[in-house]
Amino acid sequence: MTGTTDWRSYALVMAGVQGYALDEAQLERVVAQLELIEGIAAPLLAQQLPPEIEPAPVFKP
Amino acid sequence: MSRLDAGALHAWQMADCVAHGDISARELVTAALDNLRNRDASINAYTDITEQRALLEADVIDQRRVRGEALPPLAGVPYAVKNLFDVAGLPTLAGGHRGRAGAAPSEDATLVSRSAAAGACLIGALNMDAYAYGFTTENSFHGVTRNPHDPMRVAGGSSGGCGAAVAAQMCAFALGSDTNGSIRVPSSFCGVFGLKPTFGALSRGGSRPFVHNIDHLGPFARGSRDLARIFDALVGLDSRDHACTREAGAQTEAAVLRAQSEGIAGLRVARLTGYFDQWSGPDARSASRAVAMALGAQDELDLPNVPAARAAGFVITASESGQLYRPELQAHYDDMEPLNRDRMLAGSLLPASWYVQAQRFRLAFARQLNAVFERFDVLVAPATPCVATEIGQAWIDLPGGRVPTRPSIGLMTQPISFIGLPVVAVPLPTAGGLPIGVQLIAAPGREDLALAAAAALEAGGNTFKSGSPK
Repeated sequence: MTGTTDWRSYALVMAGVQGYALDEAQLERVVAQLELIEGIAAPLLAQQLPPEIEPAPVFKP
Repeated sequence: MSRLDAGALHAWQMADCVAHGDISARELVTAALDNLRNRDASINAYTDITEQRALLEADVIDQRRVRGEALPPLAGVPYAVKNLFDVAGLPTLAGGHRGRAGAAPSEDATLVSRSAAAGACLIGALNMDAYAYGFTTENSFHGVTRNPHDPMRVAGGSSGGCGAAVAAQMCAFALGSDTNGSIRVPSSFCGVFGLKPTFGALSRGGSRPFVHNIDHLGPFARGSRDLARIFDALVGLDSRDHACTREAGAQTEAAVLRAQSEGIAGLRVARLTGYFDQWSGPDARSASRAVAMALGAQDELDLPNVPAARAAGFVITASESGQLYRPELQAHYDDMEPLNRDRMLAGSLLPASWYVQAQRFRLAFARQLNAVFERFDVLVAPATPCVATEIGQAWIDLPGGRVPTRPSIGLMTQPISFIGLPVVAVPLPTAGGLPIGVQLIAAPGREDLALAAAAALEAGGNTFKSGSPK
């Protein structure tokens, strides 16, 4: 996935969903950050986790 | 004892001197404030000074001594806090624009009120990366905090003011926060000791959050006994922090004293290799090996899945901080830190499934490490890939490749705090004269083991001796 994702289109859609009004310069910087995070996240996203592994617990009722 | 000499003492020595009447609390506070005025114009560690409060707290201690009362464990010790701690009457900046800080809180953060109860005297609030998102304390609103050992270099971050203030003797200890390395990185760069306790050990009540799931608070000091005494004084349940689970009564200072007098025979130590060597420069690798040898490490471990752990810490941090600051990003983008606002905004756009994957992997990785702690008590790894970087430096060249400086200084620390393990950062000397830190990592709840190992290194003369850096 790294290097082939159309982060510009993604950011345009998601920025609207999240209520941001980004100008062109901001959009470019955000896309650069998404590309950086995608590269760092790759080994995490490649992990095959067994179904019984649940999210780490934090909430305590 | 003169006030000049007093500034170099460790916190526990200061408290003992006050208790014995060798020096007054007011003299200690005045010495720290004098040093602050002489040094901080060139270092820029402090954003606020609380002189009146410090002198008032000192006078209370001195009056108690005159009355013959038993004094608390940090009596008269001057300290400061990262400016994300609430201090009554002082706007909480969290490194952000002063105009966006809001009203001053009416109540101290829990650890500030517990420090006061332990007799410590608050002399000010310290600079940091904005919102705690960074590793260099290059802050567009409050300036860069310079390294006391080389003013052309950064102090590390995000608790850079804490590391610099302790190293330059502008306070005896400092309280900071660590989400991905923000205590351990400045400890490494500034040559001081830092403790990132187990997640949930010290209350975060009244501190400005950054990443609720990973935020820790902890002390910086000039030695392991100070860290232990401060930790023991501050630990305890708190209704203000949902995640705080440790009851009062910790006795880590006793573990340090035992290690100093009896050694650490029987402590099972291993050095982490693989990922940690791949991303270590020569100074970091030498320091890690020196510590392993000094502690009698029995083994070397190449842990699997460390890159994924670092990635998961990164994704959780980006997602949670982006969500937390989303209203500010929507309404006040121009008033936010240019050095990290776009990364934070990008974090708020990440797919939810990435965040859930990170949280599920967190549990898997914690179980993996728990199994390792059945065989070992302390794991050794560098705290930073290299010594302090230069101000404005964009890239770091490491054996694993060239990486951008700001998001990468935490390469060594991020996989560890992500699962909440307790770590003591111990400073070592390098051939070039600058300090570098090594992490002593223990199982959850075993701060005593990491502190005992740190004490053994100090007793063996292995640690960085800063004196008073110019």
